[in-house]
Amino acid sequence: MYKNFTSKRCRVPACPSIIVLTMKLSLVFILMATLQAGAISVLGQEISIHLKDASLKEVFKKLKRQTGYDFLYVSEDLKGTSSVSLDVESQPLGLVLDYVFREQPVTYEIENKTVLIKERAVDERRLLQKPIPVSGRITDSLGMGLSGVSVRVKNSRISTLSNEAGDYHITVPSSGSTLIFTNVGYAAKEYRISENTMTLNVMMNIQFTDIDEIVVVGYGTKNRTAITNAVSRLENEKLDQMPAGRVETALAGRISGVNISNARNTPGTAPEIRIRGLGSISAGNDPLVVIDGFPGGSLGQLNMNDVESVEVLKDASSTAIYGSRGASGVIIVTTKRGATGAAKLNLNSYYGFADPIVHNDWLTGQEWYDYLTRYQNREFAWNGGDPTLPIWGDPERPRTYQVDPLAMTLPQTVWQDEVLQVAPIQNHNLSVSGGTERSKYYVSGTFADEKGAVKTSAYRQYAVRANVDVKINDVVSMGVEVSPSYNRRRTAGSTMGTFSKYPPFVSPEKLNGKYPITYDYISTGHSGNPNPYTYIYGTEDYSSSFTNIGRAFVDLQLMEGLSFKTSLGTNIAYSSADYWRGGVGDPQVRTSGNASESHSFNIVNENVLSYNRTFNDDHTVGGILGASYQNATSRSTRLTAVVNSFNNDIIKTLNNAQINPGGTTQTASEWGLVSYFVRANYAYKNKYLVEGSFRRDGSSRFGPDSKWGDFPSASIAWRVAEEGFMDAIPNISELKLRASVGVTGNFNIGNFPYLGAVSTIIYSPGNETVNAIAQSTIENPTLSWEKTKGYNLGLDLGLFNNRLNFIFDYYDNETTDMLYNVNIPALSGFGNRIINGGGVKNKGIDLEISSKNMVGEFKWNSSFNFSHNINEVTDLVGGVTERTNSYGTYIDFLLRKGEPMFSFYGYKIKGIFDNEDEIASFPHLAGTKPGNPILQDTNDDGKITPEDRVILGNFQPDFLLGMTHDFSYKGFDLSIFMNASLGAEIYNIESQYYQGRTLGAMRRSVVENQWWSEEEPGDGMTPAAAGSQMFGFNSATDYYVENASYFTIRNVNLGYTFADIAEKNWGVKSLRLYTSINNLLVVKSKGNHSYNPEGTTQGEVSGINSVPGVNYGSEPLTRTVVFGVNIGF
Amino acid sequence: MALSLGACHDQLLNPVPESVLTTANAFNKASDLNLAVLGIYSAYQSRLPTDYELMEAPSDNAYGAYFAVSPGMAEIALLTVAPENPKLNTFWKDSYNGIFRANNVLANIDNPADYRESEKEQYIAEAKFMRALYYFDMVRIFGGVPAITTVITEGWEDIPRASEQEIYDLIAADLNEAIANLPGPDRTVTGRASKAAAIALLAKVDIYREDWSGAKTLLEQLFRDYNYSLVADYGSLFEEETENNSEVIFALPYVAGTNGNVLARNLGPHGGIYQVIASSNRTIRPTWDLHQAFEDGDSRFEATIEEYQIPYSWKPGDEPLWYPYINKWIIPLEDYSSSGLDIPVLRLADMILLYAEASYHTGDQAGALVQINKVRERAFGNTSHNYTLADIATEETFLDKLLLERRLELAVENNRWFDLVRTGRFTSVLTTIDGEYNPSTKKAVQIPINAKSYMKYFPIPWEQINLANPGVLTQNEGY
Repeated sequence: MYKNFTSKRCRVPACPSIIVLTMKLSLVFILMATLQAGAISVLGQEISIHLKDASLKEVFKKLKRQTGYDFLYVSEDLKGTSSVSLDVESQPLGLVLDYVFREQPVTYEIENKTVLIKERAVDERRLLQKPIPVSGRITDSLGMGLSGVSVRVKNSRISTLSNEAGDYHITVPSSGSTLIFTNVGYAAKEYRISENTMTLNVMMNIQFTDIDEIVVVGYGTKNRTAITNAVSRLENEKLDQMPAGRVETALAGRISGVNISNARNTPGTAPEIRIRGLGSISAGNDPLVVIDGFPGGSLGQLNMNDVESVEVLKDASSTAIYGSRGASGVIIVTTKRGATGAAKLNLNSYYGFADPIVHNDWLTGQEWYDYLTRYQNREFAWNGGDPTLPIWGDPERPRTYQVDPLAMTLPQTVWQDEVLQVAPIQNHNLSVSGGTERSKYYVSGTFADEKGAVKTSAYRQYAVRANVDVKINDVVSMGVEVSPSYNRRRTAGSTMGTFSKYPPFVSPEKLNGKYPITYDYISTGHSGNPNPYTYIYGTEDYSSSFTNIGRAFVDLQLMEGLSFKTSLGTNIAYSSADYWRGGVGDPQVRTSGNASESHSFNIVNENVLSYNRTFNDDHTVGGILGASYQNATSRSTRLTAVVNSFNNDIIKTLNNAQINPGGTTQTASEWGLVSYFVRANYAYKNKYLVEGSFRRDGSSRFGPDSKWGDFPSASIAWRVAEEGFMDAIPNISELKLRASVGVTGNFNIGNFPYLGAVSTIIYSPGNETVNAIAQSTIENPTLSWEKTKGYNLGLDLGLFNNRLNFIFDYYDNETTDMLYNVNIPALSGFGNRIINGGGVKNKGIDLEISSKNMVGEFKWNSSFNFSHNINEVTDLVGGVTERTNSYGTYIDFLLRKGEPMFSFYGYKIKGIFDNEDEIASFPHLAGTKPGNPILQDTNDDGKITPEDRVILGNFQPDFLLGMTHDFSYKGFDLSIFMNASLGAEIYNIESQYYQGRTLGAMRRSVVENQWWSEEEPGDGMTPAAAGSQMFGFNSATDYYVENASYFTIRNVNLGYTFADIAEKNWGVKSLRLYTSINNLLVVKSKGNHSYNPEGTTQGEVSGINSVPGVNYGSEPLTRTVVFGVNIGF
Repeated sequence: MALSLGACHDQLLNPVPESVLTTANAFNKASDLNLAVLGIYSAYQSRLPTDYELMEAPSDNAYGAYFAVSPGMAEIALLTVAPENPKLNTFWKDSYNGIFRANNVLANIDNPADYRESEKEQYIAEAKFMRALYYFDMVRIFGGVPAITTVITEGWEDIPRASEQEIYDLIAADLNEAIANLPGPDRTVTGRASKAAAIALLAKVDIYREDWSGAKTLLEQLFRDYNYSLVADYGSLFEEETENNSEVIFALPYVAGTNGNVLARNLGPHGGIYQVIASSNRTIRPTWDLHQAFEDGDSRFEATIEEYQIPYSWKPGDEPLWYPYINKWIIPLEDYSSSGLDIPVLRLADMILLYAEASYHTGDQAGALVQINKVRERAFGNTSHNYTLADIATEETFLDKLLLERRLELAVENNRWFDLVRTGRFTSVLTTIDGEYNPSTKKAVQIPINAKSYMKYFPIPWEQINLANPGVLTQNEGY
């Protein structure tokens, strides 16, 4: 009968989820007991009921609706009752009631269609509490025994582990207890135990993604399932094997919504990190970096080996807990800590070379000479000269237009190749970690040394880290972290533009004690720069810093779920910069030098009370209450040499020069931040989640009238997959909808901007230098935060037991009251002042997909991320709808309502003027000559005026994509990481150097196709590349605006792990050899002539006069190949 | 607890700026005001080395070289100046910044209680002298401009232009006060205004206002009360050793290396000059026309123009190159962008020629002739090039001679453009300008310039019109 009953009536889901399975088995056990007790005699009315974790009251309500029976009870009696899950079809009421009350402290009687609820007799209850021994075997899906599985009685401390064969034995205190089976990498299982349970065999399924992953958030951690906002997590699996001097480089392209771009590929240079676009014009867009809880660090203070994980808080609700610093996103870095167990020593070491990816279309010899001759003849003709005059030696032709035939006969040099080198790169890290239950430690040391592609550039880092955790007793634990690191950088003397443009006939060999210069051959018309080697070897530009982020904390477990942590953290930095420049024999080069020293001391005390507890398995309540006090002081001193006052090239410190009082400064400054914050979260059955936070920040940086700011946030999530109706779609293992809103701020405007500062300025009455004074800024006592309000809608989807996971987010962030340096009428005495005004909006989508494609012996995991951001200026203060920022004689930059900030703004080329007649018949700029571009007369007024300028592009990419594939087979593992950036443009003005403007090196790809004459018009869109007509004609158009999109195979890491190495008894526990290759393939647009498609040299957005996306000669990307070893002892 | 939190808050939230003075504590003592007065001069000192861009480049003295990397420069040289021209906006902003500094001194002048006798009056007078100088430049460039005479903290958007007359009245009032309270030149160091400087400036202002007798009276007072005299060697006026000489009435002092100017770098030739300057930009160069204006024997020619460049990298045996450049402000420099040569704003030869003009217009032709000839005698070292009364028989011929003399004497000293404008001659003089001159062919490329009478004023900067409320700042006619 029982058999019949289960097979016919009980619905068996095709692929049971944990809870359904629990219910089903429990029901089976209970029904068996019920049948044996013969209780089936009661009431045959059939009912169907589906409830998950319902209270008795809810059950009664349902039953009443179906049966018409009343339920009578005293509310107090129901207090100790537990919830039940029911999934029955067409069962007699009595059977159902027996099941419902089977393990409750109450029971029932039925009288005249009324169910009376009453206390269970004491002896009955005791019966329930009889200990029940349970044993069984735990297997995986293939039937193999699983050892080390934790078996625990829910809500108690009773637990055990399965043995080697997968067998376990445990005694549960009473029937109705629940056993929880957990094992790393497997989905947890829960079974309810009845008094008849003796044997319980359990099969555990591999869990493809750890949905119980711990994610670090502001001032705490959370389970991935409990996250209600947009947080991305990146674990350091093999990131420390990627040859990258800086942490940022290893992270670039791997996280959606995060754009890490390497504008300058020089050793030690910090790449720019932009999270979900740029929201500020004047106050910076760098995210707040929180290293082990210390707010305000720099990723340059870390090395990747020590990093455990990186979390990026992206939406306003997750960053609002950082208040006035959260607007640009928050990057939380967690470093490695010790774990219980024997001491483990690990060595990760790699060595290799970086090979610059260069241009190979340089003109030399006759080809160069021929081009220059044509070029000069055109210039000469334009200036009224007769180009049939001999190019060299004829006094009738001005010197300016002559070309010395020596230029083609002298030995030829491609300067690009001279100044670049294949650069060695190495990185070694040794770490020891381990500990006991009471104390744990992680200690590591790193040495990194990286030479740059440009000769003499280099970066070196020495770093030590120690993280110690001590548990004093069950209540008190504490920890200490220190991370001293020293790094030293040398920057090459100039940019690639300066180096590569040097003419090919100038030798790299010294002549007469100095490197020869163009002036030695050509008298005028060129740039007059010294020899590139004079820059390279005549510049010593060092910067070094010693920093330490240190922290000590005490953690008190006050009661279950309640803890208090207080910490004192410091970030101490000593930096110095030494700059010397000399002519190394060339008297035409001015010697100059400066030296600066600065130190900063940043101290923070944070006190956080945390609470987190689950009641009745259903109600999870958590929250934090905190106070933070931060103070940062800094001092810096700078000395400058009087130009040309160095006595010789031997001693490069300033004691060998005269000191310039005008360049000698000392400054001291400080800021303070006081913050109070609270966060509360509640989850019902881990299914409905809600969270709110509030922070109040007081900052010294703002005016006396507006020192304090409020930063609220709220978020909700619904884990749809936990709903009963989702059981019908078993392939969906996780489905979560998230929505959040928050307000964050940006305080990066320097320390005392609200004051009317009075600065010292130099004057020299009677030819004696004096520090005079003058007011330099207008005061603004109401100066306050830049505010960003952001919304985020998210969807988390896990399929096939979380084998395939999607995280999708849509966001909309608007910054208002920007710290905006607005131009004001000069009648004020000033050109601009900083106010709160203006707005910028960023909206877009982030998508992260991860999947386990193959899970057998051959493993293949993939992850993919996609980001799309739309940046838009929304307000420019006082009805201003646009502002243009002129970049010298070049292009303009536009801030216009409704358009992305700092768009390239200029004329659009429609064609090329072939002759004077055409010029006469089309609108043109004054001074236009044949060969100059025909410009679009946008407003059709028959004139070319500034009103005809149009948006020609923008430095911000539209789409970012990243993809990683990890393969492993036996001992081999292979990881391929690709990324792409689409839709950005650069203003690649570097190309003008290679077209003749300074009579230097030329590149075929930028001189071909140009207009020469009506008969030789080129491709019809390329104007004559003439220096005299460049400014205002070619340079103010889209001609130098190039597509900056690229695709790279950014890193390939191939490794082999030796199996059974431990058995060889060398003390080695693990050994892996690997090779890692950066930039194996770089694909960029054909129209892009830069060395580095994302290379720019004039900075990004840092104020209203920014010229982002301009490239004057950013250093080439390098193809880096390293070989490494990872040894564990 | 609450108390200590409060104290902690105050300490964290209200730190005192440790190395920045603020408006609250900067102007409280007499010495502070002294430094603030120097601040007014400093602003002028920063602007002065680039004034040639607006005051010489548009004239027939100079031509914007094709390789100019200075945005807006070519348009000024060719008189195709648009309101968007960045040079104008920079000049406007720099000048009002200087005016602000003067007004700020006046606004804070009553704060200190520790003035020495007449110290306070001197600072007021210096501030007013400088304010007048700034407005004199502004009114000559733009015509009537907004008259700002106090520190204004808001509402700048609604301040309209004053008339040209009002600005001149403001200048005259300021200078009259300055004359009353400034110390004599014997008690003034270079770079600070003296009574003589204020008299000279007001005289010059009167000439521009065509108040001939007013100018004459002032100049006579200047010549009578102070013993300025022409130096014998014209060239020595532009040498560092002799920069403080009997001819300088008001100059801005520079110190090489620590407070130098960039004029030499802006004017010197590409490739530098052997043993003089390592590198320079030649943003403007002398016109062939200016070259031709000098007669043989005029010592001012070689002090003004050098036609053959000996590049910095010259080696024995190299021929000098034909590459004309303005030589006036170029002295041997250690650091090519920091010249210590002082730049005079008011010097005696200018005053003598202004006196000639005032004399002529008040009917004293003979007196005018004496004054012009003083300047010529110094230039030629003898009287053989002196003019006669016949040469200046009519007002037209007098002006021809006078303007020529001013051109030769004061080339690249920021007078030529204004002289052409105030006499109305610019429309007839500036019809073409010599471009590249080829000494082999003896031909210069002729570049047409079409000076129109409205161009006597440059346009009000576009940005300033835009920043003001609509219709408040009116544009000059023609732009």
